[in-house]
Amino acid sequence: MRQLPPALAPNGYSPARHSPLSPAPVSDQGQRLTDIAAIQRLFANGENGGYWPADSAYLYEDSAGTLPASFNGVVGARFDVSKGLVLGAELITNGTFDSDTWWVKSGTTIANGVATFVSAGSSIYIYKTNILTAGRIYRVLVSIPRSASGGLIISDYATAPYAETGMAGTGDFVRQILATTAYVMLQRNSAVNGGVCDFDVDNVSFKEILGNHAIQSTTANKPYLRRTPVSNKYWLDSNTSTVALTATFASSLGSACTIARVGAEGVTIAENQTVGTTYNLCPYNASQLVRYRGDTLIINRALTLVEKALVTRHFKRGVPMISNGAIL
Amino acid sequence: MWTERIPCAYPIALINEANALAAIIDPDTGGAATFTLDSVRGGYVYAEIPFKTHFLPIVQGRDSAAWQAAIAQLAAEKGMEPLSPETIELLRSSLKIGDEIES
Repeated sequence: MRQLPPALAPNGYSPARHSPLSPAPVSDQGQRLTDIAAIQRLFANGENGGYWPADSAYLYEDSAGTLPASFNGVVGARFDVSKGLVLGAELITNGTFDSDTWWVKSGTTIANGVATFVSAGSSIYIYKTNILTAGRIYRVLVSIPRSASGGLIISDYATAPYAETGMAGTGDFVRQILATTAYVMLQRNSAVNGGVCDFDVDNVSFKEILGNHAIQSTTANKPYLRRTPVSNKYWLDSNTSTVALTATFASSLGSACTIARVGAEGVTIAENQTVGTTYNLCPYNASQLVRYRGDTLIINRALTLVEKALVTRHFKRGVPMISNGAIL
Repeated sequence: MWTERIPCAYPIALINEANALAAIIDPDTGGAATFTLDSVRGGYVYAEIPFKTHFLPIVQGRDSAAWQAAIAQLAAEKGMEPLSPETIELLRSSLKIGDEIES
C-alpha cells in the first residue's frame, strides 16, 4: 500500500496509525457537547434531578469543588451540569458597604464605602445569617483595597473557617466554599500576623453555583477517579463499603423518576424509580467485582423514546471495552 | 498524589479522640466522621483511608516528635483547636494500621 507524505495527507489521515489511507478516528467532541446541551434541555421545564458526567472536567478532589480530581485520586465533589453550572442571584445586599447597614459587626467599622478590620482583639468580624444553604457550593468574591497587616478568612460562624479561603495583601480574591451553615461571615484570620490586622474590605459577593452537586467531605468515604487503560474512559470506583457521593435535592423527587447510568456492562435506563431528597451516585455493591460508576442522570419524569435515544447515545461514550474478562 | 486505601483502626473507647485527629489531618472538612460504630472489628473502629502520599510515611512511622509537630501544624493551618500532646501520644501508640489489623 502507498504511504502518503504528511503534507499531502487529507483531513482525517493519521500517519501515526501505520495504516496508510485509513482515516483516523474522527473526534465527536462537537456532537458530545451538542448532546450535553440537549440533555440540559430535558430539565427546561423545571424538572428536578441532575446530570453528573464521569468527566474529569466536572470532578473535584475536595468537597468545595476547588481542586481538580486526579487520576487515581479521590473525588469529593461531582458537579451536576443540568443547570449549566451558572451562578445564581447575588446573596449579599450591602456588599459595597455604601451604608452602615445589614451586616452584624464585631470589632469592625463600616464607613467610606468599606468595612475596616483594625485590631489585635479576639472577635474581629462581620456576618449575616440566613443567607446560605448548608450543602450548597458558593462562589465568593472579595476585594481588599487597603492592607497594612493581617489577613481575612471566610467562616461558617459555628465551627471553623473554611479551609483554603485565606486572603492577605491587597487585591481581588475569588474563593469557593461548600456551605456548612447559613452564615456569611468574614473574619480576621488569626493565623496571619498573630491575628493583628489593619485592612479594608469591599465588593463582597456570594453566589451559588446552581445544581444538585454530589458531595463527600470525609476523605475516607470518597470514591477514586479511575481511567480505563485502553479506551480512556473515566469512572468512579466505589471500592469500600462506606463510599458515598451524595446529591441532595430541595424536595423529594417522587416515584416517577427515570435514572440512567453507565456501568461496566453498558447503559441502563430505569423508569418509575423512587428518589427521596438524597441520592448516592457511587453506592458500594459487594456482589460487583468492579464498581464502575460512570455518567448518571436522574429526572423526575418519564423520558420520551427520542429522549431515551439521546441519553443512550451520549452515555455509550462512557462504556468501556471488555476483553478477556478485563475492563480496558 | 494519593495512596490506595490504608486500613486504620482505634479501640472503640477512643472513637471521639480518633475522629478529632481525623478532623485535623483530613484535607477536607468532614474528617470528624471518619470512624463510626457502624464499622467495628474486634473491638476497634475501622476505616479504609486514602492518604496523601507525602503524609503516609509520617503516619506509618509513628515517630512521636513527627506526630506532635505535624498535627499541631495542620490544626493551626485549618484554624482548629489543637489536640493536647497527651492525646496525640495516646492516639499514636493506639493506632493499628495495615496488616496489624486482624480481619
